[in-house]
Amino acid sequence: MFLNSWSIALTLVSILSCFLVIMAGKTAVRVLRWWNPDSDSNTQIQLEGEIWLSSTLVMYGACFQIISLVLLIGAADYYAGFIAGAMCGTGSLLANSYGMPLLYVKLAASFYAGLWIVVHRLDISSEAYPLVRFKYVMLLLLVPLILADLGLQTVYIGGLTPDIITSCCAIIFDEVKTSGSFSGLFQSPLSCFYLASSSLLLLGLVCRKKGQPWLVYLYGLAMVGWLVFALDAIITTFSSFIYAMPYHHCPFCIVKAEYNFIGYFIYITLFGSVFFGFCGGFVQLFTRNRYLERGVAAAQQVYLTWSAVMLFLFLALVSYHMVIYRLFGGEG
Amino acid sequence: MNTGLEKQRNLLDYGLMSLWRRKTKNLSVLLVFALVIFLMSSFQFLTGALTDVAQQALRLAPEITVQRMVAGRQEQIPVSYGDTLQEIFGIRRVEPRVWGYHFSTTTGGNITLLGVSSFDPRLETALLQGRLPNGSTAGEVVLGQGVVRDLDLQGRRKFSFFRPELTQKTFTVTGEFKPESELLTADLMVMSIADTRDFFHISDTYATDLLVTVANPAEIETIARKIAELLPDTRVVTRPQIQKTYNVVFGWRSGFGSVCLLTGLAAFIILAWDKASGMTPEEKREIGILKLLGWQTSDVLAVRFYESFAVSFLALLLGCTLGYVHIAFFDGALFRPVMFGWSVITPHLHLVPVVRFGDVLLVICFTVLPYLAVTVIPAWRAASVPPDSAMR
Amino acid sequence: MMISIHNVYKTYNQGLTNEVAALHDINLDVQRNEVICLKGPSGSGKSTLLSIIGCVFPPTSGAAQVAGKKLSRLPDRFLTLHRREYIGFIFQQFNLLPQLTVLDNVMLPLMVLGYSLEVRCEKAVVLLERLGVDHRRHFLVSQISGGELQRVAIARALINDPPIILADEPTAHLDQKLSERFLGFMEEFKQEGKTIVMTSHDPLVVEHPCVDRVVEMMDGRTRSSCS
Repeated sequence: MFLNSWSIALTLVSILSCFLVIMAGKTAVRVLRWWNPDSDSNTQIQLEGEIWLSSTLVMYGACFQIISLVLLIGAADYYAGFIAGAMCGTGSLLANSYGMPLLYVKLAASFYAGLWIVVHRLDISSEAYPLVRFKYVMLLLLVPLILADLGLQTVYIGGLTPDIITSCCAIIFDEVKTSGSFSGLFQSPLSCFYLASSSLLLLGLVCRKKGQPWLVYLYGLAMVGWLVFALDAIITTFSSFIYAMPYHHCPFCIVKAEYNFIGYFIYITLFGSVFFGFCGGFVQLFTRNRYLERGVAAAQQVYLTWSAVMLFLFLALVSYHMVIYRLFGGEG
Repeated sequence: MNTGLEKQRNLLDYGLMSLWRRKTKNLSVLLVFALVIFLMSSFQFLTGALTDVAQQALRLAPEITVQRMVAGRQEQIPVSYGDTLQEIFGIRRVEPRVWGYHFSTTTGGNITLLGVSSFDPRLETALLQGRLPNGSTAGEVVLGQGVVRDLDLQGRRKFSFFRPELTQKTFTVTGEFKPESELLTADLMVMSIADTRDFFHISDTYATDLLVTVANPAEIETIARKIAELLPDTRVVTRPQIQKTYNVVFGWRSGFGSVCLLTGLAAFIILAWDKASGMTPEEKREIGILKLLGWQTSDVLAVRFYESFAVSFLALLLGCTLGYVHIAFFDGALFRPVMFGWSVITPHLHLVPVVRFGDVLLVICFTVLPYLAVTVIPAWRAASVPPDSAMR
Repeated sequence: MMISIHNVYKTYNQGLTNEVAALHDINLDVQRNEVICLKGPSGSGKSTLLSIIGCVFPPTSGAAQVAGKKLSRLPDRFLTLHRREYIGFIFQQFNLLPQLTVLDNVMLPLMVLGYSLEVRCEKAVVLLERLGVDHRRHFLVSQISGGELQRVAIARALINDPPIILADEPTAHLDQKLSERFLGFMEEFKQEGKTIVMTSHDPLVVEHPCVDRVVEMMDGRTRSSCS
């Protein structure tokens, strides 16, 4: 199903991402081979200049990956109109075995590119550029991830078959795949979710103030675990209140126009808070480097602040419909 | 934080001033870019508008249509099959339908003659004027606008068609369908089933297909499967499938059009690369001076990004506006042949484009993102001008 | 010590066939509030030394320290950050942007420091008034006279109130009257506590009373003498 606007756009954006990251990868190879900070040769001067090129390319690549993620959600929703039994984007992604892995790889690539930018900004905060080799090894690892994204996407789209009228003797009918086939992984009441979230919020604020290393590591790791918990809570509980339908649990339909695109805001704040929280813990790894002590402290302040703010916003957004329902009963 | 934002505002300011200073070069890029966006957005808006029209029109289509297939081709179906279908729980009504084509020598196209045993009251809403045939008076017909144009009755209410054996059948026009329904009714003549049997010499025991109405629309697919199992020599077509087929066709045609336009996009990207790469000695000197005054490579990169962004944004606004006007006021005249298929009697449709987030996102992905991607490396080359170049 | 240059070498195109050794074992210390003139023929390395002092590029080897910052092998990003805070440049050909107005030219260094338009304007107007060119603020640089250009260039160099002013052949294209006026400004800045390094082979500059020391350069080497 390549010959439609969504598939062409997805393919084009992925190719652009690949192009940008591969170009950045070329710099990575040159830096790893020739970088010598004590040298005043033209090569070294050129490499110092190319650092800006590679960082700009990766930033563009990261933005394109995020756009590609939004495109995938839109495309999945579009494909649901053609695929037998698919009622929404979830059904489209489950239409073959490549859809969900594609989603995960796109998410992973976006996160990884963002993490690279964090390491880069930390590196250039110090005059010694102490993380040059580390970050360009990281960059080389981004290349296969982006290529895997393009490959999976191509196979996924190629594997989709639209359900149209044919001249055979019976209708083609696939097994009905409902949109709400998720079940809660955590059999726990909602209060546990709010308790965990509030604890994390508090922990984040404490880390920001006092900054004990082990606390910051704990926060970073806890945010990753909390991501799974939060997604489960959205699917099992909060989505139903957004749809005002107790048996509708689809995690994708909340991004649609009929729900005021609230899904985008929920996922942006969710992934944003997890990303920044993880980064706050991740940069702690570099605090022992004498060139980066100040840079790490400054970066952590920023990341932990953003993480806390977005976590708060996420909780507010995700709880809104439920609170309205509890207060006023029914669609507010 | 304030100084950071203020600095970006200053850089944006400088970028816009810089664009204005080189307005001839930037205006040419802007106009060509807007043209490319106009073409892409026209396709998107046209597809969206046609899909909307199809969705509206298909509300009147039957829920399930059963056709008999012999040797892979459609044959007349025994009316008695309808009795068999009544066994299926959930089917409210089964009625036969007779239809066929009459070749119009005037236009060289086919007119579809459609006869039903009873008329869906919702069909009244599709009428521009008049009434549906009452079934008791022979020869009453309702015409689609394409047929009205083709017959050119000039106020006459009666006309005749010749059968293949050169006998005549006279019809009386009782009503016309609305132009908004032309996607389905342009080439259509609706009459009672008796009149179509009479015209095509089809006996009472046979029909062209059977229309099935179900009690619960959510059960269409389930009942369709049961019909297929009960009558294995039939083809069962559901209304959702027709909708999907239209969507696929429009999507395919739109995609095909987009692929063709990609060559135009590629040409524009080469132009953009060329314009972005070419730096005059004055521009090089300007950047060298800025670097000497304390501007970093990242600051110059930011200025270049803002310039590209501003050009893209303006081109997007202009291109999408023109695309919208093209569809809304000119009914997509440029691309109608691509989207409207091979029929000779083509529907005259008044299209109402709707600007959706998804359509705008697609246009951005086709145009703005490639433009931004292709200007990165030239922007970096410009930003890498060494500061001491201004001292020489 | 405001500027400290010890055993500094600078080689362009190092390792390539067109390698050029521009500076050999340069040693130079400049006290705060001192005015130095680098004198020498074309190709003696004056501009290269000025560029190192001005944090335009680092030395190939040796120790260079400007306003407390060690410059050796400092990446361009940090050189630029240091330059924008501590150095004001006045160029031989002024290097103003002809398509911008006088006011816009003077405000350029402040744009990347995050000052709002109002603050930038205010600072620029104060300087232009002091230098007597405020009445030309909305004129394009291409529309003003040579003397006015000189004063606009000085205003731009001073806009971020740098402690160090570097002037590269500042009187090369000026007549005697304008050259004297320029040196008058330098004297004023010296009294305000600024450190000034100029390159020139104009006797008017070399022998001016405000110059504390003349450093002679030849073939990339120095020989200092008091004025």
